[in-house]
Amino acid sequence: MRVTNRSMPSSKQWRLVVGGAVVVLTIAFLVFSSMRGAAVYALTIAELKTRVPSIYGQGVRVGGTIDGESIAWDATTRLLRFTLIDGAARLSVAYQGTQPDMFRDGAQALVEGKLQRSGTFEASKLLLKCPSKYQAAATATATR
Amino acid sequence: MTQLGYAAILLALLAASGGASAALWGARTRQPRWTRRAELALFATAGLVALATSILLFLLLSRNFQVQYVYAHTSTYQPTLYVISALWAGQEGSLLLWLLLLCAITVFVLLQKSRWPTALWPYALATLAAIQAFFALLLVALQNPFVELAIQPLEGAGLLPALENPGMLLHPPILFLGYALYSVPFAFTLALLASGPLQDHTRASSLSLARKWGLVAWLFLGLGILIGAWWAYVELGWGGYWSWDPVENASLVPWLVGTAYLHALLVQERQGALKRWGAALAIAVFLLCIFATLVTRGGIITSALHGFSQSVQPIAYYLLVFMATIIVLSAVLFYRQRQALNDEQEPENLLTRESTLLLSILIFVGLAAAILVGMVFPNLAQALRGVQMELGTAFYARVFTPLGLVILFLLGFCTLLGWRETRWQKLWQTLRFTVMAALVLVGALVVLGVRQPLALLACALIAFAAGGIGVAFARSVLQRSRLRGEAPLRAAVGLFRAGRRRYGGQLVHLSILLIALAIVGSSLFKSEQSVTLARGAEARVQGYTLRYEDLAMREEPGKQRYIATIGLYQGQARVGAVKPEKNYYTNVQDFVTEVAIHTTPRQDLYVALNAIDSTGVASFRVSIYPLVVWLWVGGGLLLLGTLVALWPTPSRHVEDADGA
Repeated sequence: MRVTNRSMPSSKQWRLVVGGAVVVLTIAFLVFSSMRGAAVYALTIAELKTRVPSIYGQGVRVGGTIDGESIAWDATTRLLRFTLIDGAARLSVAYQGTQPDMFRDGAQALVEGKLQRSGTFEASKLLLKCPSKYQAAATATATR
Repeated sequence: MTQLGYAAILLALLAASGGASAALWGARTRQPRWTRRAELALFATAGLVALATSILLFLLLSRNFQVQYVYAHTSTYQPTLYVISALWAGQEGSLLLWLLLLCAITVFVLLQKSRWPTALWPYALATLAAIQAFFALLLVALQNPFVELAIQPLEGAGLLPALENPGMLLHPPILFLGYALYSVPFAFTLALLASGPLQDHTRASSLSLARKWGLVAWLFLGLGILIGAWWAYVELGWGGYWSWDPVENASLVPWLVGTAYLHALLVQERQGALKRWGAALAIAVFLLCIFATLVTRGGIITSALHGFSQSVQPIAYYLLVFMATIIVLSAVLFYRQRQALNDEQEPENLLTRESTLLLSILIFVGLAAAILVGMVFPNLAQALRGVQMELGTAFYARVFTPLGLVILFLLGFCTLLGWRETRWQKLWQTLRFTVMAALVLVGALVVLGVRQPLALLACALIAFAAGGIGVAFARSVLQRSRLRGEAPLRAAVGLFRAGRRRYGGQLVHLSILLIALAIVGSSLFKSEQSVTLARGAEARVQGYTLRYEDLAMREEPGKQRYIATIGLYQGQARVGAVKPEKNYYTNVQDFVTEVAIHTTPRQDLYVALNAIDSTGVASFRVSIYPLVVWLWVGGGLLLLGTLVALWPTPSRHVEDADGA
């Protein structure tokens, strides 16, 4: 049973338009409110250190080369400590979790987390790229 | 050999461009002989591309390391299956595969010519040919897989260890097939917009063509995503199947919009409404498929996200220009057809199936848009504020959770409503049962000790939706068995066969519910701990006793495998064993972890071998992921349901009146 609707009262259409607008605005609000606190700055180690103290508590992503001699892993607490080097700058990192594959001296690593007042970078995410001929696919991901 | 391969792609580029021009000329001048020439050109393109692919495959299989692509992705000790999969391990090869799949799909379309409305045919051909020409251009201009090295190396670099997994054999081709298949709904839609007055073509017969292609593409894209998730779960070793990585997101976004497209088509077919949505979504899905290629291959998104100095690749500009062309062309066609795209009926009441379907479409598109915003956020931040920043995974979780819950609710609620108007009494009759089902399940879960509000809410919505599907089916079975005097089981089978499309759709809905259940269980109730054991020692983890029984070393070409054996006990009974590995790969000169998983319907016990010291003491990461297996079962059901819905209905049957 099809009824032509050319004479349809426009109030019903309006209801639909308003309903749709409410949905769209709600989703937009959700997106913007979810961004707050989820933003992570990408900085170099040197930049990170110049932004003390405003950087405390802010999510940051930092990259560098792993110093093999600094690697210390505690199996019982599953705490991995190591130092990242970028030029002359050094950053000591603590990561709660296990050593990802390809984690070794000279590997390029990215850590995501927050700088603590103690000067230690507490990483919640550790990403590695093996420094070889392989392309992006070689990126081993360790996420917690 | 390599010259022949390159010549084949070059000729394919010419043939496809010629085909596109001929089809367009045929369409504008209404001369069928030009259209026939275009058809021939497309057959020729397919043949040439098949030839080029065969040559690359032959070079790979014969390990001709002088060819750079072969050198970079194979080695002498690589198993043959993974040599074949090297065809799509690199950028050049995967573009060739894209093109090959496009060609195969086009040949399939050509063979089904009679099903296409004559007015649409030449335009659709022109679109498909133009897409092929574009991909052939990429191969010819930028990504020639047949480049030779000056010297012939004795050994190839080999495949990355993480790629040596059955997932590698299935995930990329199936995903690419999904992307490539979306070119057909796209071509259909462009043809619809370009061919002039389209009243006739928006009706059921041609819409069912769009629906079928849209459904097949949706199926393959969905399966590709799921296989990718499975691969990440079993291979990457961090214990998750989804990490909101840009590459994963790039495939999820078109799938979500593809879901919206299928639902828009349904309303269009039933009500003659949402025509603009249908057309816009078909174009959007295809654009997003190209965008996915841009993300994975272009270096625009990943560079900012992973922070590795991966520069923007030249291919990115080609892809951007291609996308811009599609957007401009579509906008012009849309403007020209604005009158014809008026809906015959606007949804009038809010509480009807078409209104709730429209709402679901908005949510699907909204969710896709949110993920897209998250993906391009680094680029936006760079462009607008000049800072390097990105959004962490927390963003995606916050957006996905509420929208996912709304989708679950709509999945349960929408199918209870009627088209055009809802009869309250009938709605209440079903609603009683489904609300009851939800409450009973929540009660049972609380008794069992589940306290997380989010989990309870999600489970209630899943039960609500599953209950709705079950009650509707049971009611139809009873009605049929009463009317025809059939036994209920017979009536159920008969009903299912008569309404394949509807019940296939319901199976797909059930599969989504299963997947939702698995996501709820595995994300909200996972647990993980680390144990360090000497050989013969035991540890207790969540009701299991793990006994570290053995450590074996095995020498294999290209790798040394260290295999630990852990016996699993529940009480005194041995319920199984897992063998996590840590393997040393000579090509990357490092260890790669192979996890071992003990799967039960209730939960997965996931064991990774972290480290072994010289005395054989090993540390393991032991995780429990509840309900993960239902993710894969859901994937199987998704395949089954879609196949049921797609299976051709014998012509004497009329398509089920209710649709699904």
